[in-house]
Amino acid sequence: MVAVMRTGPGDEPESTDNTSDTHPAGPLRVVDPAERTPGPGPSGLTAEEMADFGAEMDRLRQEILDSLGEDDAAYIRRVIDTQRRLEAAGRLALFAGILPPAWVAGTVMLATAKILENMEIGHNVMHGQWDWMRDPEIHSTTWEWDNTCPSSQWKHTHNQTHHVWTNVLYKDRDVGYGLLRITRDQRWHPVYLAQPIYAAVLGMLFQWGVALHDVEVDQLLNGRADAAVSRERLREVGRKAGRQVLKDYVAFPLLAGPFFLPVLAGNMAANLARNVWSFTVIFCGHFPGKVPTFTATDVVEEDRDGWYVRQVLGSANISGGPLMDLMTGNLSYQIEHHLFPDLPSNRYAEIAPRVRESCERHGLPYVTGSLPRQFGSVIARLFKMALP
Amino acid sequence: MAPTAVPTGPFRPLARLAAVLSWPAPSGAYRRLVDPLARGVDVRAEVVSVTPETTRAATVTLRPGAGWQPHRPGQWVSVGVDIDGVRHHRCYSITSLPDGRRPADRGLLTITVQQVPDGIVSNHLVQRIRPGDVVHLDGPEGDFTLDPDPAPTTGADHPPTAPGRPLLFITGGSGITPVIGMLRALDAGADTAPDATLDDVVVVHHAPTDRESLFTDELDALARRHRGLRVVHVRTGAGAPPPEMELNAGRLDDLCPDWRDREAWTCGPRPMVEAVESLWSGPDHPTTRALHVERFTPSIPDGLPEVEGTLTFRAAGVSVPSDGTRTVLDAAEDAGLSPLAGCRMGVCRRCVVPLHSGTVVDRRDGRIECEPGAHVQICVTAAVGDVEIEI
Repeated sequence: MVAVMRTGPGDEPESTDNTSDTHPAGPLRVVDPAERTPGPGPSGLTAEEMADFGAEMDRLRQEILDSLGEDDAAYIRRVIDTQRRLEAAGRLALFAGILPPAWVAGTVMLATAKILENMEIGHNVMHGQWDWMRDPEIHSTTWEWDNTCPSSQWKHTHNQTHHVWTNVLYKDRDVGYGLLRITRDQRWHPVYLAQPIYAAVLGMLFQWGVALHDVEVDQLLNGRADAAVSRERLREVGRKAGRQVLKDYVAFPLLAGPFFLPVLAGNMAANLARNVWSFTVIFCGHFPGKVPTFTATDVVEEDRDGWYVRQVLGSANISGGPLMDLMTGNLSYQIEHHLFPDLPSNRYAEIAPRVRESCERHGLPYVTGSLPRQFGSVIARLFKMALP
Repeated sequence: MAPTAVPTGPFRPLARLAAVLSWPAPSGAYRRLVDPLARGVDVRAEVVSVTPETTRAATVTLRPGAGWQPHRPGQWVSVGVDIDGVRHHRCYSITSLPDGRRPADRGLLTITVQQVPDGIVSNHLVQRIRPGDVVHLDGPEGDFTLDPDPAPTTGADHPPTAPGRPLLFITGGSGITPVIGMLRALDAGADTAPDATLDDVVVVHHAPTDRESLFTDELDALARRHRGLRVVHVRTGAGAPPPEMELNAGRLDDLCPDWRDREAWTCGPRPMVEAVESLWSGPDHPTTRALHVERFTPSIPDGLPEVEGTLTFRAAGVSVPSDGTRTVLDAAEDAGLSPLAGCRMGVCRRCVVPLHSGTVVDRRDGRIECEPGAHVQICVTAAVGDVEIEI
């Protein structure tokens, strides 16, 4: 059976309540398996097929949860240890950054460390993937990441908004980040003609875009956000960003004394590399050409099983090897991550073939491709949507 | 959770700089690359040795890293160990001397662990932990010490303590561990409490059999060295509940005739401790000597509200029915969540989370909390009716 995808009509969300985090069905509601009417949502699956898929996913999730243990704990501790060694070595090498080979080596190590910290460690720890270890130093409630975005705000925009409303226009604020036109359901405006340029700027300054995400500047401009809330969030961003800037652009360069400039340049280059890489990976996760967006009407009657189905429809994987998996924070398994955002990332590779097989059996598209192919598709889409 | 030590004097600017440079990694993250025992959220300690004491008990010797504060004899430490990747905390009395008494023991800490049937942590510590393993410490804590007690558990007017005050220790099973810590300190002349000595001390220790009794030889040796120390071994035999645990005035009169004139400490199985407590608060104890009690499980007062309702974990978006007796922590873990927790007995405060709405009751003392935004210790509180909490 081939899934039929449709995107509903309409420019505006049904409700103006964009700040609601709670999915109407509640993530734990389980559908009555006796229900045999055509399923809600855009997948074209019947309610029965969706319930069957949902039950399979629930079983898979439980199976992994039951098998978590010492090896998994050792994995995340090893990654964290490696990341800290890389960062320390990178910063040390940059102190000798007046020598070009040392500068290059230092910058590469520091950029790699920052990418690991943000993607395989920070993002996944903040999802609560490692909370089961009950280690207060590797816990979603305590982790602060090496990024200008405060963890508390990231957990709100990402865990509570993006992961609940994945690819639902005007609900998932990651669809275009209030800045880009990703789908024809967004009304065209001449300003979008420049979107290839400002998408590139967003990529280079990605951590700042992420930091300002929860301030909801776009929503403030059209009067939908609470100015007092936004002000308080902006203050919090200021405090966090201040410490980030102090560390990377003041303290470490000053510590290098006469080599202030090479260290400053190395730190800037490392942050730039991390920004561009995370932008690339994240855009490949939801915006390749084949991945649809949804409208509020698509999710009105959605239940837990429908939510599972929408995660598959709205996500795309990146094929590659173990190094690609590590450096993308296992977002190379974006589909598996969206199905099970709180399962430890080191397990996605192992469940991916089973998820894929189940998707194929249920007639759900499982979008995957190499990084150049997926990112090329994203760029083509950004250009296409720039036009009316 | 103990606060991170802030250095004073010339090291303060350096510590500030280190905090700027290591931001936002947790404290100790980079020091640990060279020193595995560098302090993080917890003090860390390396296992030095594991020495069997009986068939089901062992003494674990630990070398704490930076940040460990010396204990007072009788205090306990919360030990966190990773088992199958999951951190578990349990409290154990410290049996070693305060630091610096014997050169060979300098910087070392010992606990003596008795296996509990199905006890995840005690079985791990007695049977599986190996020298070189790292554990996590919180503490030392506790007021079950020889210090003059400002607020005696029992006895209205606590008289001023006199030098060489008469002491009585009533222990059962692993309840001997805080007491052996105190006796060792008194024996070594460690600076414990100025008026506490071994000149007039009675120890009544209960254990099922000779084989299972902890520190028997050491207690007897101490009694031989100190004429004022008398040790009474009570063998309760197998089978529960042992009638010998049900201490009454008559039995205690046989074991220690002048028990009414002694300041007393008790630690052991709950039936024994409860028997001692009722003895001290009853008509058979007309004196005003203090009784010190150590408990490792919360005692639950009668008449607590038990109101069923719905317990909602807001951050997780999960709701579960609540029977009004289970702790919020247990209920959250049953629901598949993993909130932070430490001692699980209401001491370390690692598990505190904000209450959003509803009422919770502290199961130790029946204290009610219903202020939205109040931080509650989920390991000892239960929901009363409908409750929403930030987990």
